[in-house]
Amino acid sequence: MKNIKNIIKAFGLATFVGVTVTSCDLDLLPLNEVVLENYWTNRDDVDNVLRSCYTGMQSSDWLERAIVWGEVRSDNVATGQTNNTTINYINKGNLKQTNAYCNWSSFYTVINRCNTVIYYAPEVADKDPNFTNSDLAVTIAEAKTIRALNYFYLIRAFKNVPFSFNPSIDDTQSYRLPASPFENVLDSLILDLEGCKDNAPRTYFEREKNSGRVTRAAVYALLADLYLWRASDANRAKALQQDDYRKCVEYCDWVLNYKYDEYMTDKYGNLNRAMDTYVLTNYGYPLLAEKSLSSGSNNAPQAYNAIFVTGNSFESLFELTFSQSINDARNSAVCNMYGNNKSGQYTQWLSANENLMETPIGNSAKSYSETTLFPVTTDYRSLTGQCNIMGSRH
Amino acid sequence: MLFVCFCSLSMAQAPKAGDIISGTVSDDIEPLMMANVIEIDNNRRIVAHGVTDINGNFSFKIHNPKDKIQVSYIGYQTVTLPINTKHFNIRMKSTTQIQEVVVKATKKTETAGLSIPVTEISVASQTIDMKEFEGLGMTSVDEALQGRISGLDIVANSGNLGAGTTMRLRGVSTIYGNANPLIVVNNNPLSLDDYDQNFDFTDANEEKFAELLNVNPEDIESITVLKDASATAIWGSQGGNGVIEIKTKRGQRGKTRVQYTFRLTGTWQPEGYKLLNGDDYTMYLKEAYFNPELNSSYGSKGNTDYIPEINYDRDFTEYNMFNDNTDWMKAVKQFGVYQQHFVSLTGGGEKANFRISAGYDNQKGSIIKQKLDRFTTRVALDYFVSNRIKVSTNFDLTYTKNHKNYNYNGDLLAIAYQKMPNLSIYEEDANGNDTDRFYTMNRYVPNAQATHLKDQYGIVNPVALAHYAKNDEKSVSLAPEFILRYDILGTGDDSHRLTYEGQILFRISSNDGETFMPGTLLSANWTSNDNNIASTSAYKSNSLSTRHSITFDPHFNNENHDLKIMLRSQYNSGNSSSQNYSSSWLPTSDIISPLAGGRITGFGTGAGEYKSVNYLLDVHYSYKGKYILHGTVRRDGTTRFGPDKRYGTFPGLSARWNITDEKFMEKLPWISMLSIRPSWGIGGNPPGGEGLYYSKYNTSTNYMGEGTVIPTNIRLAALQWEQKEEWNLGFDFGFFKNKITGDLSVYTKKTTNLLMPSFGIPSSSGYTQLSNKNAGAMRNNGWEFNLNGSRVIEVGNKFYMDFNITFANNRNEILEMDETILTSMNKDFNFANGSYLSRVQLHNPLGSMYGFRYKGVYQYSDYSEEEIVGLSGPNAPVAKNANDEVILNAAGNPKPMYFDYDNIKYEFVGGDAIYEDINHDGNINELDIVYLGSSLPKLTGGFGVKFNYDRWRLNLQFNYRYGQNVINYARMGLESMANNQNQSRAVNWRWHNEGDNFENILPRAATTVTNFMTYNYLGSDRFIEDASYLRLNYAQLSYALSPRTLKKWGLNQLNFSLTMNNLFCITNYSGADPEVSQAGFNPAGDNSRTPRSRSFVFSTTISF
Repeated sequence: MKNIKNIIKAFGLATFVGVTVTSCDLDLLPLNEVVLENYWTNRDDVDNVLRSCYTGMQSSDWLERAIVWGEVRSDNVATGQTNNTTINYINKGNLKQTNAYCNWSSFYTVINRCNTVIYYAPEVADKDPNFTNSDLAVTIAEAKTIRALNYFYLIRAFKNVPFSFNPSIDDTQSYRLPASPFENVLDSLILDLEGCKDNAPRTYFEREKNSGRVTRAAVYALLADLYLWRASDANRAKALQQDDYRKCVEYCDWVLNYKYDEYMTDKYGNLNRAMDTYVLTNYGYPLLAEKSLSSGSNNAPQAYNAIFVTGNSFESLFELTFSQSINDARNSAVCNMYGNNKSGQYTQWLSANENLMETPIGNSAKSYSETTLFPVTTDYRSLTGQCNIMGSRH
Repeated sequence: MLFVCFCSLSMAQAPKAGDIISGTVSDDIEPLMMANVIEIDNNRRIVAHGVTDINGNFSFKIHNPKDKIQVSYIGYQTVTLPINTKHFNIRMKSTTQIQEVVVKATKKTETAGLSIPVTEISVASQTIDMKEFEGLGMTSVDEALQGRISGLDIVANSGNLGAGTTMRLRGVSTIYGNANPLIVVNNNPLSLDDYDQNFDFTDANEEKFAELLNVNPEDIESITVLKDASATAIWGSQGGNGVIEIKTKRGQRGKTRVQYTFRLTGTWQPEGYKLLNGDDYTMYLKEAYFNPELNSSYGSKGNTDYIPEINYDRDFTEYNMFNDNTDWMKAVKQFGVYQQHFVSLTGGGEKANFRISAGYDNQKGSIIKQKLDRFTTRVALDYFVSNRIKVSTNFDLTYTKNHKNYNYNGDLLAIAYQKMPNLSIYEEDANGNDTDRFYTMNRYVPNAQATHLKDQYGIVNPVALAHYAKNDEKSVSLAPEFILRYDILGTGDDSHRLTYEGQILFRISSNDGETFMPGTLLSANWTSNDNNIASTSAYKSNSLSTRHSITFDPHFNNENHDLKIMLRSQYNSGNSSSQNYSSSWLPTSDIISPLAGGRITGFGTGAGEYKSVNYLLDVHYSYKGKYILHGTVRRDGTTRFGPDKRYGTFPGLSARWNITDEKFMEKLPWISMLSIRPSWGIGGNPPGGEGLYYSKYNTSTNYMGEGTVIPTNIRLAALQWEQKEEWNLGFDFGFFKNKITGDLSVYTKKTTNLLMPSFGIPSSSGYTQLSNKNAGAMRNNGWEFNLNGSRVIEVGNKFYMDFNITFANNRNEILEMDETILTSMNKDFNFANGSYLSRVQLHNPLGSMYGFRYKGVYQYSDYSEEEIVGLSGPNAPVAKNANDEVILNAAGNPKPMYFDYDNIKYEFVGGDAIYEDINHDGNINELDIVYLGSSLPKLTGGFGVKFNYDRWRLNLQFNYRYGQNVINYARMGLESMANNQNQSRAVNWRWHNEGDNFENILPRAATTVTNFMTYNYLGSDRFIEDASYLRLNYAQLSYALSPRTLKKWGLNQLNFSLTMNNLFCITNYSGADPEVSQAGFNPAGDNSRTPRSRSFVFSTTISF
């Protein structure tokens, strides 16, 4: 009798102990870090990561490669005051796989962030009532445009690249992707942007955002560029080529008309009225004035100042904006490429090609003239490093 | 014992407390003598007792009339009666007649699992009783274990105070994971869970194993090392590298005993490499600067390259400070003294046992200004509530205060090795006499050559650093523990036994550090970032763990069967927090707190949490004690992994056949023990750090004034434990009534899912690497042999000898490895001095060495067939073909020997090192690299003898290693002659002029500070040495006074002992210490320039 009582006691104790111990929860979120499991709950989460797509493009790695894969491959630029051996190798056509500019990881970082936003934003739309469906559409359109822009840079530099619209979340995914052909990528990008081009906002209230963030004009301009590239494929069927050319024209026209309307209506009253009256009256199109409208010794062209110094000008469709805020990125890439760094020392790896100059540098300067198409040495647009491009701004 | 026998007259009087009761015990025939009569209380505890005399009478005083009286006698049924009278007349009834009484005493192990007899252990383990080490003057347990446990390899970490050792059991079976075995103290594992992520791991690892130092050797009762997977299966995922279980002493029933031990140790650092003195050094350095380009501007006054510091220039303002002969090594060393006091109080009675111990250590290190104070106390209390319920409580407290040396670009010894010996320690006046101020090199003095001597100007004065810089650490740890044990069913061997044990343990520890370095030690101006730097750090952790187990031991009527089953669950959780704060540019060097006004250079906080749970089922079955089967299954869950991979199962199975218990073995009586033990098990190894599984989001730079957040890593959902599957076959044997015992084990261990950190993935994913991934598999094979002899030689009854000897061998092999890791490891040869090509190949062991073959020194720069003394000769850098004939080029001139003709194109000259041109092409490049040796030893182990004569005892313990090659990086640094650091005295025998040729000649001095490269210390077999050694670990002589003498003085025990540690080491290795271990993929490399310290210990133990 006593034995049975004891056995019952024993098992009661055992089950009690077992139950208390097994019911413990082994899910421990880190105390001092934000993790995927508790992220993606409200619209701020989406906005923050969306903005990181832009800052990803502001990194000096990204900007340098955009310049090298673009300008340096053309004959617009030549070696500047300081030697950059990596760029020199490229200029001479001596390209090894160890060359730093063969590394494309900064572009894929941005692409991955875009993919992440596109993947998780719908979830947030379900959870957060402040994040409406139209907000979602705008977000997706922005992310898709940035993604398309990045892939566009990649295929123009490398032709066939690994292509994926899936975000990298887990280590169970396989990351070894084969290279997708140039044409397929281009087709996918065009298809992607066609689907969302009208979701991008037309204008923002803040002047900077009209070119600092993706707007509809930017998407149309990018599409026009994509169609142009697809059209110039020699292997493409003639009829399709014609279609693409027509599309390109259509989108370019849209942008031009849009900008004209924008100037004419001046909805928010924040457009700089410093337009070139000559061009406006004679050609019927609003463009920034070439020379200064104010009298005085300062003959800095208005257009140059508005576009490159103040930034976010009327003529700009999409530009990466570096602001004076203390936590914003610094534009060290353009600094290193074209100008001097913070301490006033010249780096200037690149300078404008002499062939762009009407007169060779060093000869007596000609004064600025409206009728000459190519800049003269005193023209600020010759980028000979005489201007003080400080790294804090542009 | 009192034989008082008297008749009681009144039978009806009830006794009171303190009364004497008496009675007679008899059976049917006659009175029973020597029957046991006891008084037991309600809880069945024995309170008083008596024994019957020849007439069967007994009497004794009772304590409580409510108690009962119990009479027992062999062969009769036990009788229990209430105490209601003062006189008893007890009749005993016999039980069934028994043929004989067999008294069996089996030694049982008290491991973390079941308590099973020693002869039934079916897993590979080795136990050492601390009585072996009694009175031994070792400061920590790991010192004594070296060479005693077969398969356990212990390497000392550094000579610094508080640094412990690295232990490897059965080779290294992981590459990047934690390779140290688990240390368990009283069934509580000390795991790395207790350490914060941000904690400095290189130091912490040393100190975590120095936690063995926290367990005072005087407190230890036994150490068991669990070696194979079926043994470590009870520790599951933590026990993958083997387990060292330490049991501390508990109280014992008996009179209270007091024991006091005093131990005094003196240590010193033996001289390692002999370095150049000031005069030789300046001469060497002048040559080193001149040689590369035959440029004499380094010695020409007025030239910008002029180095006045080595040219004894009287016009140089610091001339007096640069013309000395300083032995920096001697200046930073001192004779270290370590005193330890330890007191313990043990005792116990019927109701409770207790043991209280306290120890105080004070240690002055063998390097100047190192000091350590430690206070430990341990309380162990057992309280017997009844004969079925026991409550125990343990409490440990350790407090350590450590004044360490400040580490500025190296510890004191490292700095002392590099500093220029012609520099003076103190400032000197105009006559060259020392003042009492320390001298700091000043780069702003006119003509000071701070450009070429940049590395020297960056090193501080080590003696000044020791005196003025502060690096203090205080740590406290407490661990209270409560255990309840309840024998639910009976306690005897003849009934079913069901035991419940519940335990709860708290661990609380905190660690505070403070550092300060004054700017006056630097040769920099006040805007240097390192001027007056100070920092504080604080770390706190606490953890809770609770364990519940139920053991069932059924009683079978057929006594041949024996079964034990245990079910156990354990839950651990803990958290930690830390903060640190550092600042520089403190206003003066008198204020040393980082919180005083200065510039904040860093501050941070951290917090961590972890939880884990595990379940264990342990079953042990034996038939006749001859055939044994033992199985365990353990299931572990931890927060380190994602939900899919959170739990892991670790089984273990082992069997044993005691062959000597078979009938046919009775013909061979000289074999007293022979058994065979096959076993199999799976163990695991977790990754370090929590929260690896998660994908984290961090803030990043703003865009247009608005914040951004980026995902920083990929979530490791597929990350899991490293798994080790092991097959083990063991034999236990004993000869001549176990005079000689031993065991032999053969094992093979396969580790799969090796953990690799920083695993590279294609950047098209958006990331460049995964922080951890399971990739690869490796295998370890080996065997261990262990032999012990007890009293093998006995002469009379005064002299006898014991011995022990171990051998072990381990080989590893990589079975699988991910391609990206192989490519990242098998890089191209980098054509740099001092680096050995690393190659990881599948199905080859780790740690193979590849490099050039070194053939000596070129005697002449110009070649001629016959030697023209001083001008040219046959030993010149020219290309030779397979027949040793000189290769001529088109013009008929001998083809010169180049280094890396395609790229660097360096032409060798006289005085340069000769590397063998394997393919005879006149070009030394990666095609001339050959296999040079392996880092794995062929045999490791130890042996010892113990001689005992009367009351004297001599104990000698050796350990050895055979067949290991080591790359001596330390010697490479001291013979490279390519920088401004002090070099070994061997460089005095270097090539100076054309035609120099003598024994052991070294290449010419040629500095690379000026960016002219020479290649005289490429990775070659010049620096690969055989590190086989035989070391006398300790020699102990002890004397114990005889009990008779001691009784006169009222003492129980008094012994003295004198121990010498690390007395000598027989080796061909030219480095500081041949004990070098191989880690990860790299070959075994010796970077240490300081040999292991020697010490002598005097200790005495008194007990009352």
